[in-house]
Amino acid sequence: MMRSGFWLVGVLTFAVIVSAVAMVYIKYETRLHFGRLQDLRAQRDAIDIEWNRLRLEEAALSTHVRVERKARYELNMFAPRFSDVLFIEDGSHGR
Amino acid sequence: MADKPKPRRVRPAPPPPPAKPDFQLRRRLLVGVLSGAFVLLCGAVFYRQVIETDFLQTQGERRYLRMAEIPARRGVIMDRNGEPLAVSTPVETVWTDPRKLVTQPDALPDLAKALGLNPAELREKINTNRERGFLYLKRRVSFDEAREVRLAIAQHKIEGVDFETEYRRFYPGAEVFSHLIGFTNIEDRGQEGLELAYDTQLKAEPGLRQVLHDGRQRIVQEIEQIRPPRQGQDLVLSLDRRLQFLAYRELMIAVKKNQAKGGTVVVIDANTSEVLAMVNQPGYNPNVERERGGNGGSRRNRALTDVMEPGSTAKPFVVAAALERGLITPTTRFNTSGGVLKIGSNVVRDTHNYGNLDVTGIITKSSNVGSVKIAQKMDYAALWDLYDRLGFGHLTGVGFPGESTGRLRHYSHWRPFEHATMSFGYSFSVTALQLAQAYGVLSADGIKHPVTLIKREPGKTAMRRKSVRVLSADTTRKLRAMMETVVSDQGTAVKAKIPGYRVGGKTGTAKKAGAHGYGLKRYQSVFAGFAPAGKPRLVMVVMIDEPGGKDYYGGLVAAPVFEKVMEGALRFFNVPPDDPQPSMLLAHQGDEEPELKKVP
Repeated sequence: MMRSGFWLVGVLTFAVIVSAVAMVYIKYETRLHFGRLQDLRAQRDAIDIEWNRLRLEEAALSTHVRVERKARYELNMFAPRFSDVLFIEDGSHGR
Repeated sequence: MADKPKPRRVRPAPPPPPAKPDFQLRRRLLVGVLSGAFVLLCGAVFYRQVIETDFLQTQGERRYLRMAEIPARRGVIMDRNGEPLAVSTPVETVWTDPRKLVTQPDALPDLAKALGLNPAELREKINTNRERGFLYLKRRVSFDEAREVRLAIAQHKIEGVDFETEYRRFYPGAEVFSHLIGFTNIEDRGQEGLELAYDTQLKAEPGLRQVLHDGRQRIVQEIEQIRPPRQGQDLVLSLDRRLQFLAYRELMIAVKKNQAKGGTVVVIDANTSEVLAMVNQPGYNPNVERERGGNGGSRRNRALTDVMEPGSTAKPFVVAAALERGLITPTTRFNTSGGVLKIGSNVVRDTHNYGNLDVTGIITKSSNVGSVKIAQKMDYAALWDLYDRLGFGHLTGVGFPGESTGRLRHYSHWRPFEHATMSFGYSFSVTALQLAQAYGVLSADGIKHPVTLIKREPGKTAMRRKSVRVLSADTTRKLRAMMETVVSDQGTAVKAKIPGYRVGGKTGTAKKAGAHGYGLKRYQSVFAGFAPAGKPRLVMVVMIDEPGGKDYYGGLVAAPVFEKVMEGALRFFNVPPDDPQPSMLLAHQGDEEPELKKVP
């Protein structure tokens, strides 16, 4: 009777200690992971910012005015003149 | 004492026996003091634990708990192809704790240099605010400035200078889109234009969370999210960026060339009434803070806020109303000889004497007398009813702040001369968008689709439910054929001709009413038209305000803009030519390889 009571207390004490250590460990793990999550969030935000910056840059570089200037004066391009247009009639859809 | 050697001769008096210490008293005293201390201790514990507990707990929490903001971004405004027109990008704001900074005067010159501020002014600013704990040094610094500041901080080990993230909105479309999109204030809330109209949809609300941080201010745990962040929703407009740029450029050239005060171009899709382009002159750049305040004139979206008398561009509607009632056919003849018509004590004049004209001719030559005669075949209500159903005098429903309704008086208030002037576009006023919407009805076989600035999903039922038939398809077809003659060698708008396409439209030259009636030579030159005329895809209204050159007729001032923009638009939207010239045709079954022209 006495003996089993002693054992019970021993086991429970041990369990309490194990659970306490485990708790501390889990807490530590949580913090590590949370730190990582924070880093990843920051990274996500940074990427998002970069993406928007690049979109803006693209929009600025592709304005009509700029593209036209490049095409017209640097590459000597021009809009097709009336005489350059050929209209291909598709004979297959004859009504 | 006792053992001290002393002369024995005098026997000293025996010393009094030393008083026995009163241990009892000492013990009581000690116990008393100790229990007193214990009671005090208990009291203090009780006080701290029970009475002061809330205060202490919050104080403690303040040292490890913190509210942190979860940033959220305002929605992006895009054109119909997803090109960004307004984007919020985080920028950094530099703030300081003047109480700390004031102790480091050596670092100030470098800090000022990094921020592009005057060192003396910065010192002054810090000194006057030395009692405060927070001061913005410079809001929304550029990328390079932020780097410079970080360098200066590292170099001088400056304390009390930190960064904060704010959002700044950029408008890559600048002045080309500014009238329509508007801008936001420093808190990133809409102030003008669509930014204001759709603010509830676009706006972002930063979330709030409670976090646990350690001694080094690093966040180690998130306790709870108090308020979730609300990201702004994106807004997709019906505009086409390429077309908008083209229209803006051509309008700007035309306004300059004609020394005009301003101008407006509106392009809408004939099938859906989506606004594809809407530009105004003069403009302003929303990215430049000081241009936003500017003179009100450059900030107005004239296409929606300013009204004009449509002038001759209203004539097709008079013809439509009469055709609809079977009162006339395109070939009914009217006598306009003399070019003058007396109505009461007033006179209606034509610019030339056109003699005997049929209805088509009245449109082609834009005869005022002819259109009055057509109008006189109908009662007041008939004309008013059509104008009303075309949307004149009503908001278009685009929800733009400051949109004007125009003015259309009820026919019960009309006088005979008013009825006459109504038939050639005076005595009522419309916005450029209303006019475009009405021409959209002619182009969409008589169905009025509500105009919109927001991209429509094809086949959505919401639009079909709101679309109403205003004119019969037959009437609009006849009308379009008549309006094609305007853009012919006989018509008033030869300059609107686009090779390869059939184009229909109507010119208008409205005298501007000033404070003293229709005095002076102030005109608004208008051209409203559509292409391709067989099955219109695009509708455009061009208005040039007060051309200062020698030309002021709509056909000479506004029509060339129409031609340039419409030609580009037809190409952008890949509209096949409906009037190909023989030289353009390439037979499908051709057995010989066509000789491609060499590019010079």
